[in-house]
Amino acid sequence: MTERWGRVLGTDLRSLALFRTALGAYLCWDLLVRMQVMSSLYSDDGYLPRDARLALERIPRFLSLHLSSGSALVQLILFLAALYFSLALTVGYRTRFCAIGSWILFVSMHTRNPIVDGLADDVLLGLLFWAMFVPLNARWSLDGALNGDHLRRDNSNASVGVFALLLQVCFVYWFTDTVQSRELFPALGWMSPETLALLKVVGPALVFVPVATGAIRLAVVTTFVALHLTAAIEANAPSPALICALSWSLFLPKTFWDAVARPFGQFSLQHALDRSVEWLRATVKTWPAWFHRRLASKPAAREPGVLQRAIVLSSLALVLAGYASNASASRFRLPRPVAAVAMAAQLGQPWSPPPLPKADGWYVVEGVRENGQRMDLLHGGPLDWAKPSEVGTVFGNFRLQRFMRSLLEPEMAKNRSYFAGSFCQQWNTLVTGPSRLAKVYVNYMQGQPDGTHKKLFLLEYPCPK
Amino acid sequence: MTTTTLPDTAAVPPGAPEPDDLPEVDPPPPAIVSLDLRSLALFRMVFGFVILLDLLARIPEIPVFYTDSGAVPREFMFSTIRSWGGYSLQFMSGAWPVQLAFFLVMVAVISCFIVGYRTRTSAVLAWLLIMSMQGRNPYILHGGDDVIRILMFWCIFAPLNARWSIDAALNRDKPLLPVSNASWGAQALMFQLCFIYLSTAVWKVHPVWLTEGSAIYYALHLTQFAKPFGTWLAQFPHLLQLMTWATWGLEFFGPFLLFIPVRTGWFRLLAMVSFMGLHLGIFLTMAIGLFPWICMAAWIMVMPSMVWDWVDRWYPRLSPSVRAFIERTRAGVAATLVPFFARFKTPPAPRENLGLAGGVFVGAYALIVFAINFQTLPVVKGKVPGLMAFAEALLGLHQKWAMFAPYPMPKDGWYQVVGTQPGGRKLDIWNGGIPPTMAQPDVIKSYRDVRWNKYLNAVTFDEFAFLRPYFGSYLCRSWNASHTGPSRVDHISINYIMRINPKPGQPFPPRSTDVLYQQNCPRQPLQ
Repeated sequence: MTERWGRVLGTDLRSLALFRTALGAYLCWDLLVRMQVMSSLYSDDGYLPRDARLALERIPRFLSLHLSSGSALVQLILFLAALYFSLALTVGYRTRFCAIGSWILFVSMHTRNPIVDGLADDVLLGLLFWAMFVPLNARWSLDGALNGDHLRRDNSNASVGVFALLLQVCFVYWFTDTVQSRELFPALGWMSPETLALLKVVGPALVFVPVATGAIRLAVVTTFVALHLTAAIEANAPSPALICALSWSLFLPKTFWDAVARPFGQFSLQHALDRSVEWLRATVKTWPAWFHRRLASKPAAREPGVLQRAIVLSSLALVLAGYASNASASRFRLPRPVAAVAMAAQLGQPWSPPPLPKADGWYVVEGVRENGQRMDLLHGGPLDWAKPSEVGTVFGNFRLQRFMRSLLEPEMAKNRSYFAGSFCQQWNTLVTGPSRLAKVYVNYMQGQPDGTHKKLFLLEYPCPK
Repeated sequence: MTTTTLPDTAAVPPGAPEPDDLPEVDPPPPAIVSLDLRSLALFRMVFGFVILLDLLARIPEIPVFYTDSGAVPREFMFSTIRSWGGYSLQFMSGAWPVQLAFFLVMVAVISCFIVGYRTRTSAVLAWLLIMSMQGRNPYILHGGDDVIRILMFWCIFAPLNARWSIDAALNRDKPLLPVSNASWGAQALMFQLCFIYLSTAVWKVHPVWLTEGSAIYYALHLTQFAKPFGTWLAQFPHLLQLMTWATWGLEFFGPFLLFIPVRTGWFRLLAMVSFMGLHLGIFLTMAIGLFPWICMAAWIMVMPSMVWDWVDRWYPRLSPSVRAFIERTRAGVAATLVPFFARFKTPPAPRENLGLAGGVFVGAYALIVFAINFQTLPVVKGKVPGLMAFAEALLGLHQKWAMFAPYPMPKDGWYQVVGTQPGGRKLDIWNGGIPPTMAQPDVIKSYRDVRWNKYLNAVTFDEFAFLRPYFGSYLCRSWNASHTGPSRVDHISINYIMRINPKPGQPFPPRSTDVLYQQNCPRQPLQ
């Protein structure tokens, strides 16, 4: 009986391991994309310095390590730390510690510059939070192999942490509105809102059906992954559909893994990993002793204690209460201190609205030198008002594009000067005399319904002397 | 050496070999480059304790000085700083619970430093957190904060835990280190201490200190600092002149007393007693917070071995009841602390010196720091290469010891914040809601404490005028939070009741009102 309920409310350890690997790889990729434009988006020399960030919302109870310094060097250190945690998560090395580190740094990064984040990042933060409480490293991990404890336990696993993580996957469907669902399932645009809502409620709930759980789960996973992946492949950006598809790996049932493992027999993935770890251990014995000691003493996956269960259950209550208070119809409000904790941990937050419609327009940044010469600061060379070959790729980086799109919004108007000012800084640290940059004009060529483009003048910025 | 019988937590266990019995003992290092490990241990405890007091004194002021609803919100800091100088972990949040958590962590770390548990790690953490705390709000710092931050950096490298520490108590199987220690870290500490006084003496090269000898006269006429004893002393200008010259002479020549090759112990004792006397004198005459105590704690490190030998010799002559009391206390402390820390992983044993790499690092860094600070002295006025300045600022070792230098400021006064109530009645909301008056209040009390004193002094200077709008909003907010209806204030005027103190012997001009800032208070409280 207990075993059966364990199967219904929990999942397979190998599914958790697959989820861990996919999650870690996704985090690495996400960080690398952000690091390309790190100093523009996260330092005081960039487009959103820390004082401008605080002015965005007068909510003091936001925690962010990334606010501790405005220097790009410190930001780089924090990003490299996050990258290390993500890599370690992928291979399952010091997994619990690295999951906690990842969660702290991703929440902190999100808080430092929320403008470049969207629904995909909300979903990610939710998954990362519960990932701290589940045995991600029990299979296919360096931790497990170094400790030799992977053979000890049955593959199925159920705990409050695992249950909460599974529920979080469902919350994405249960607590998003119709507009957001269009972002999750672009392929289902033909469906009526009612049918879509029904699919969102019933589909994820099916994974907890107590009879024929394995078969039903396999069917649901296949359906949802297929739906999401078609959407994710079309989008050339971290779309929420991709991270949702990734999270469905959690529900792969025991039957699936047994079927996959059978044909390979001795040459299973776990076996190959064990062999390579054995080789690694034999090799490191010849290395300096302190290094060997560090590698060998890995914490094993432990059963959750009372404290951990209490944290998980109260967080789950917090998440549910948060969603309840976000619902437009509800008049329920969290007490202020509780809301502050939920906000700092990014738990039960309202899901981000979908991004602005794909920009039909492009920025033209005009620079005027002291000697009157005009130039195009984005592309170099003489000023060019013509439509670029690919409008979306003027800024290349997805996060930067997102930021520049939001800069068009009226409430971001007072932050435009930082964007303009960064050109002055770049030029005038290199160039002196009459070819110094004197003024920057920021324009946006906005698409009109008739297919033409209208010049939208955003800002004139005189460079400081 | 003899085994110490002072109250300690790491007494030599019975049966441990006396150091004299050890087969081979290296000759002790030359006295002029060495410090006594027992003095370093006592320095660690007293220095840590003073820092602890300083932290505890800041805790009630967290809302004012460390949160977004106080007088120095992050928004203000972020818009005025743009560099390494603005680094602080405490920028993480503007909420008081988070700031309080930071302070509690600091209290825990400093406590570990005091009892000598994982002393080096504690020193690293303490230094990082102290740097962070100072970066969050630099407007409330005094010279003593620089002393704390910089000495704590050098503490990382010095063997502070070789005696009377949990580290030593949990490593009793290892032999005790010889008392005389000439490690890189200990020397860096000692040189840093000397440098403070030498450089402040150079900053004070000015007629007010050297020929007129009127510096202490000016200092004791600053009503915001002068204690009653100081005010009484101020009526003897010739005595003050002698004291001025003596102070400058001690600051300039005193540090050299530590390096005299004959009778080194006696000269060091002389230096230590003189400098402690100087700071005790400052404590008795001027209200500048814990500054004198920080400096007195620092001088403990040079206490010569002969003092400890005297203690060993005199201890058996104490009356048995006193000795029994000391022994009981020692045993009680040890029985409480040692088992508590023994539950965790055994800390590394105290080490006599750093390895070669550490030594080279400390040596190189010390050279950079002292070279830069020599270059920036007013008489040298040299240029500092950018990379060197960065290397120094990175670790928070920038220092400018210009206290009361080149001369004490002659501008003096106190604050008055005139609030106008809806009925038109005016009252001084800074000094407890009394009617505004030009009469002299209890000035030291009206500055509240040393942190407020530094902040309010910054507010008076026009170069820091950007502080005033935030101070104004804070004053409105804090008064109107507890005063509603007709007792609220609609408008405030921040006034500084000032005068410029004249040369000795000349009459004092009347005080004038300097209106620093005026603003209307918002109708609704902001928070």
